[in-house]
Amino acid sequence: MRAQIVAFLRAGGDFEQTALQLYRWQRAHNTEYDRFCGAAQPTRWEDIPAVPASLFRDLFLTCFDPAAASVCFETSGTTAGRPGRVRLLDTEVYDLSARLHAERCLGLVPPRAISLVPTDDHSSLGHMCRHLSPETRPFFSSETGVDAPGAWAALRAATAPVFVPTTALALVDLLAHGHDPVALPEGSILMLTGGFKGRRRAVDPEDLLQRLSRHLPGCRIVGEYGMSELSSQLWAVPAGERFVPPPWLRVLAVDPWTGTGQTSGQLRFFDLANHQTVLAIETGDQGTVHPDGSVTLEGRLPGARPRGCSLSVEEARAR
Amino acid sequence: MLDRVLDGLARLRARDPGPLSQGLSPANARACLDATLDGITAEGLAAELGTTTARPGRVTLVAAAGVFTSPIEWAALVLAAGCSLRIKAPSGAPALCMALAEDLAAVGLPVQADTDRDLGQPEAVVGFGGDASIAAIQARTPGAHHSLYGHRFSIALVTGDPLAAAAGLARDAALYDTRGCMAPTAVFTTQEVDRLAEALAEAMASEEVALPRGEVDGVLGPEWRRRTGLARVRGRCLEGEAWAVPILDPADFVPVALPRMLPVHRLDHPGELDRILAPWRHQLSTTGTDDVDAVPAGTLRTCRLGQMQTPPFPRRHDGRAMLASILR
Repeated sequence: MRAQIVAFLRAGGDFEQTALQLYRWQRAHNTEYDRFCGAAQPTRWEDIPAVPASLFRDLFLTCFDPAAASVCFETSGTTAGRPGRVRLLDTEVYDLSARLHAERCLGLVPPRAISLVPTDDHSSLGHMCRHLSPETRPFFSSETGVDAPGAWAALRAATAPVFVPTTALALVDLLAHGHDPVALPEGSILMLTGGFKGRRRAVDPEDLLQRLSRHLPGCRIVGEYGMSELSSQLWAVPAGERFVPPPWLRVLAVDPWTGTGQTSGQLRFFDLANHQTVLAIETGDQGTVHPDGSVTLEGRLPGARPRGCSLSVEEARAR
Repeated sequence: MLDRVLDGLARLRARDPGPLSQGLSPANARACLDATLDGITAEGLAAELGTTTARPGRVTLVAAAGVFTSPIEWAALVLAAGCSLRIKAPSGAPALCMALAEDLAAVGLPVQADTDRDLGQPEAVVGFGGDASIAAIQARTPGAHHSLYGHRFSIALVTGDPLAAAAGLARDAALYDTRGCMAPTAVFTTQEVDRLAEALAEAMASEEVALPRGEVDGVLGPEWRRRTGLARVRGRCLEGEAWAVPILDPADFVPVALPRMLPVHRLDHPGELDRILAPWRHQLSTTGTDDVDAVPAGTLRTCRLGQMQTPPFPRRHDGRAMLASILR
């Protein structure tokens, strides 16, 4: 199955046929997913049972013996109090998927990076960025946050194009340490990822992009959407435009209660590059899927309306 | 005064409760309203009024969305006590509060309802809601005495015959579509889980006929699918059109009720509950059970199965005497 997926990534193919074939293969090799699917017998890719991303906190969901995993990516765990874990045998397909679609959307990614994203081994985001730009200088740590003076110094000293991956909140911290504008070398790319709502404050994305263009004039700013549970990413070029998936990933918006497909709603991802886990993932995000397959993200699903004096799911699972 | 209060409540009973119920089916709305009004009697009101001779003058009742009947018992008690009452209705679901105030005012009682966020300067405030709402009520009425009720959850415990327990459990899950802090979030049992789940599934299906499920909040769908999916992987999930009984490990317990879902968790011994519930112990409201000697620590109210959603009146509300709780 791996060879078939790699071939699809390199040369394309019939998405639906490959997705259904991968679904059957995963049911045969992933006991948990097989039980999750129950009596389902999909005949269209849209009907392949999608696993809620939150179940990676509770289940292995691998198509191999989890003990054989060489990589374990962790989710942030901010909602349920403990992280989800995505185990992979290796990152061959993950890396291929990341590189092919990034180069398709961005062109050549500068090999040197000034990174404002987590760089530890459990971060899928950090892994992707290191893969795209092997010469990475980290200026963010989960313990101490953004090293803004160091990052500004590195940006000012850059003499060749650089890749600057950053989360929205890290970027806010960077810009908060005011600095004269820095014109990065031509070909530099700033990659903005992550939500705009943090625990500390909400960030207005348009305001952030305007400030960014003042502080880093001429720099190409792009948006990235990914998650630990997916092996592929979507890119928005320039940032603020729709997110474009690779040909091996399709997105479906559904009614969050019934799961019925519709133009806007809760987002499900069907990622052929997820060949070692499960190809169909249900996220907690919402958005609009356009006829060409591109996606406008609309943030997280809203919280449930009050149900009397009972606890909310978020409150309860945070313990 | 008692007669006037009961006359006002009779007017409320005569209404069509469907539009007041925040999305319950007509049959469920009727069952919930009748059960609430049946519980408020002249004897009950008199008994609570007899617990103290002191009375506050002006009381504000801040209602929350969700369990549409929750303001009724407090409104009846406050007015029977001779106080004047303002009901601050939830802005998204004011219908019951408006109808209640209209019916009680129609018999000459000093009550009004509105959705104005300015709570004024009452002598006492009775309020319901989440942590943020409770904090906001306190901040906005610094001079008042507060009787405030934040988020809680309830559980059921079955140690005896599963077949005897199923009907009551299913009724507890059906009333109010499992909304509110007294709704069972899950059933823990020392008995054979499959037997209980199968009996429960049959009873849940019967309740769906008698009291059909009403509107559901779509954003609960992801959590519904997470639990049912987890149950299919780790155990078993019995599902109908509008209900589910997932069998799950106790470690998978989440103290949040979903509309007509009753997860069943196996215990070796009731004493395990203290450990399982420890993270949320201070928010445990009711334990519905067939074994009153086995309830977990922290339970504020113990009742029989089938009575979880129909608390008696008067009672100690979250451990506090009702009338005394609004006095300094």
